[in-house]
Amino acid sequence: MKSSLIIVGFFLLGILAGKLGIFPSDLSFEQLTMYILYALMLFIGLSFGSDPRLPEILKSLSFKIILLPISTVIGTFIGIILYNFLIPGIGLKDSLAIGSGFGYYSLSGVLITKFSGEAMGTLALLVNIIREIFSLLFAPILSKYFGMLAPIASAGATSMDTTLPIILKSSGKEYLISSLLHGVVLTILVPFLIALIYKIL
Amino acid sequence: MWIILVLLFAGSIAGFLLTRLKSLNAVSEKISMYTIYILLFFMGLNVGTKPEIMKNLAGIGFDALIIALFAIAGSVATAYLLFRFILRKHEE
Repeated sequence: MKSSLIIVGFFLLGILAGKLGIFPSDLSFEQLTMYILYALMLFIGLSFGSDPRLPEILKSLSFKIILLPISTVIGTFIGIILYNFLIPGIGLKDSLAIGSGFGYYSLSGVLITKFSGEAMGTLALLVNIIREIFSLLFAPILSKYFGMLAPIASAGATSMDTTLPIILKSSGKEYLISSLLHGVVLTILVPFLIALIYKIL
Repeated sequence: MWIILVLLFAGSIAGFLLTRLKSLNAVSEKISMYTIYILLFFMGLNVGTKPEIMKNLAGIGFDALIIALFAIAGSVATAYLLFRFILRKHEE
């Protein structure tokens, strides 16, 4: 709980600073965020590699971790179909495509704009930004109440980069490889699934 | 995507080779934690300085939130079942 509050606090502070224009706006924050993320990856690697439990962690890996990205795709689709059933309005095709962004908002926004127009593209962008932010803010709570895999599933494609540090902090370093594999598989699936949905539905 | 995997891998190898340095694990963990906070601040900054996001949030933000919550809830539910019934040994 405490770590969730700190996380939310820093994030809100960032939004506030952005709105108030404290930092010169000609700076590319996206670029900067990426470099910080790169530095973070190096430190996460260092602490993973030097962990005394490393042999144990590697030994406990099994092929079963490939089930996790499959579970996320199925679960997301179940959630979206349920949404469509309860709150009709946006068609099943568009909402499934939006769900198939799995938090990868830049790509899904662009692709869905191309397939279905500006309105759906913008909605896809927002839905997937919210998915990423939600996962960042609530990872500690998700792992506490819904099991160590829950923050990875929630993070979707972002479990390999932006949300990875928080996932490891919430669920433990031993989930590094599961989280990476999950993110890589979903990242590859995003464009494939979106194109497939618009083709067959 | 590749840069991230390469950095993680390089860091892990370096960490493994330097395991002898007893404090490395604790220090790199501390640094990671503070870097996470800086990262979050900048991610917030990213959102705060994008007028198109802030503007759209007021309009279709609520619909977007609901769709996102359904998608997240579905995937968290299946992840819970997976954790509980198939990958349980991690819990021990």
